[in-house]
Amino acid sequence: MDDSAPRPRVNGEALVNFIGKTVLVVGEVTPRDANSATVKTADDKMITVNLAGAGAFGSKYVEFEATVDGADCVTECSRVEFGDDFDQYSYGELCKLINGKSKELFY
Amino acid sequence: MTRRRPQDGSSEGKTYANVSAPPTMKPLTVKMLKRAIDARQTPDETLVVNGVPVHNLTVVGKIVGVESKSSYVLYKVDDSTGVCDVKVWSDQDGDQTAEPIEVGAYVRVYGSVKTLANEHMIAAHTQQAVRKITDHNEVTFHMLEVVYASGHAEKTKVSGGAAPANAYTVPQQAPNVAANGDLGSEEIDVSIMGVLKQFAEGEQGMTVDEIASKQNGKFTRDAIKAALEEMSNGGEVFTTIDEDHYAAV
Repeated sequence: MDDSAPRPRVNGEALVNFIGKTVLVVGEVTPRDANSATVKTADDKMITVNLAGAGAFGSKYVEFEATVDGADCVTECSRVEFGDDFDQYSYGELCKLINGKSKELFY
Repeated sequence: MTRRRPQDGSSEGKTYANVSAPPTMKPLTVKMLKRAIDARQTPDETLVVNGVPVHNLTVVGKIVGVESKSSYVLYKVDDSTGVCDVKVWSDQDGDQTAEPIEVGAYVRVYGSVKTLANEHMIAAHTQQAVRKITDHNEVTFHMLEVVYASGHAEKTKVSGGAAPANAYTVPQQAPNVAANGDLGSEEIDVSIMGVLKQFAEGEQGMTVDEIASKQNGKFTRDAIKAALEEMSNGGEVFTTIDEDHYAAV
């Protein structure tokens, strides 16, 4: 059991606090080209993802494990497709709790 | 109040001062689990999270490793707070009824913590207790449930076990002194319930004035009336012959 390398779930707005770190970002994905995509997070921020895998996606919502390059730019480590029916609002509220008053339960 | 309750396995007969909930399934993160394991003095001790013993637990995470043997499958499950091993034993005849779940898939795990050779892992209850998630809203739901369950347990602990009355709690007449308004309302509820159980006779119960007279001026009549109405809405008490008579459920 190892909790030495957590990856916080973050909203788009909070990315700036995690530059250089690995995080989880979930959002509505729009392919841009073979190497990058745009992701709209629960708090309506547009993020550029430099892709490690294919530039095509099988679902509308995707979770990226990614390192943060800047306030609106990340580089993919891996991805999980979350399907076309994902409640972004609830996920956004969860991110606020994870990085707010319930932080000690997660990181 | 110290109560004795049956526990399973090595912790049978152990006494807990703060136990107010039955040994139900606890939603946890790997980090919470790791912290509870590290806090134990010996592997035989029962895990305690937020002051409440944890026997059965559930986590949701992504599979990042799979090791398939003849008698078991060992998954490495990452819930973003940490990585833990999850062992799924084969049936007694050694058959795997299903193919191992692939790396990268999110799973829901139901199990209990086992320690072997100083290695801690979650032993899944059955082969079906590691289930692949198809609706990823379950990831959000689980994490929110962790926050909710943790907050509830914390509140129960702070109020000295005076949780909402149910089959596993006994109302106390002398609970902890209220630290804030929230706990104050619990104190009045417990006090009213104690009076009703002790003094109410027959089916008509007691009037608000009769209940107030037994409180020795500790609470105002208005506060008691308001608390009774709230308890009535919560199903703890009910009105009998008129709106002024109350009895405990």
